[in-house]
Amino acid sequence: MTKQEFMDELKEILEVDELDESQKLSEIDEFDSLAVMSITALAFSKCNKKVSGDKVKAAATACDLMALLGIEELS
Amino acid sequence: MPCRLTKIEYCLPERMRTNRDLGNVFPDFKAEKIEKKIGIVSRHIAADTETALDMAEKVCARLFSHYDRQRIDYLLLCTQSPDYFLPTSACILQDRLQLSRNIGALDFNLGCSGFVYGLSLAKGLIAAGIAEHVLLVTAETYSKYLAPDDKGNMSLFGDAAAAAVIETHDTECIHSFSLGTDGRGFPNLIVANGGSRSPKDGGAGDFLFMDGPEIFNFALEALPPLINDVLRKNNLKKEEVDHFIFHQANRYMLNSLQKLLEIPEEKFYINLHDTGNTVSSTIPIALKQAEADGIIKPGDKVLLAGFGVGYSYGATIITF
Repeated sequence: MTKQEFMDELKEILEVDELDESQKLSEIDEFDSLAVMSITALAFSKCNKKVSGDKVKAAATACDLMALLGIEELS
Repeated sequence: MPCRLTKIEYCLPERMRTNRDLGNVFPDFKAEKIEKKIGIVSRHIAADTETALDMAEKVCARLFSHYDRQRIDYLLLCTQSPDYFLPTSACILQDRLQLSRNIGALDFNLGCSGFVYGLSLAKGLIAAGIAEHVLLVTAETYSKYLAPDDKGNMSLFGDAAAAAVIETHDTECIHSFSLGTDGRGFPNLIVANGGSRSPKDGGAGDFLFMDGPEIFNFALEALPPLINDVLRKNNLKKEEVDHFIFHQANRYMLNSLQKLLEIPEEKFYINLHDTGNTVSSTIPIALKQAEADGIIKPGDKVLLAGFGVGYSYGATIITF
């Protein structure tokens, strides 16, 4: 999964039109338990990676999430 | 001796908990989002003095309006909400239903996988010649385990009971099983206090805790090999199965599993709109509702898969 693909998926999960990778996720209302589950599902289905809900919740930014999922800076 | 699932009934308690009710209690509860993502609008909740055993009695009475109760020679009760630590709730149920005293009766403590495991036990009892007419009952009141401020789990779980008869038949209609257990997952769906390990202490451990993302990860990992194994054991290809009925946990998880397993949408049954997750009763309720809606017909091959608390998981194929 590329960085752009991840950001597109994350915007859909968080129901936002714009998202900066260094924006604080805690400031986004939709970063809730359902979003956490959606992100863990994304990690499994698209990155073949099992990530814990706690680690997803602890991510401060989209950048942190990409590091957690092992998504590199490629287009 | 071959056997068949011949009767199913279910009952839901009268009291309702709708998304609107939850919105009235929790101002930040997003009713539309819950309905859209997890597919639940309302759930039925047992009355304060109504137990799983009470619901079990009601559903069995409903079943016995068209089945002779004296034919039952074994009672299996799946519950994680027994009336007492002891005695066995199934023994009490035998008496309340006025079943023959010449029968076996036992409780088994499973949740989401309970109905599939119950079918495996019933099939085993019949195959061994121990019983001919097994009454399998699932009954649960998870609502009573929830903390008063736990809006997340309140939005998911509903209470219910279901009863099914599995009995001898000319041809085998309950086919081979694939079963799994992974106790590493036990902390992820638990009521930690009140049993022998840890007494109640008035804290969070007295209530149900569920790590949703961990359960989700478990399901995504465990289900593909489970489904492949049960198909292999039954010498069937996925395309030869008419319907797939999984434990109705929530629509988001079911949709994810359907995509992951590449099951055609028209064969994958989802219906938890006004029941919520009723734990071990979701599969029998889904079977009964699918039959009532004309979706499942006698002779159809139906793959059933239950998975969750424990972790415990299992699948089988039945000829309906």
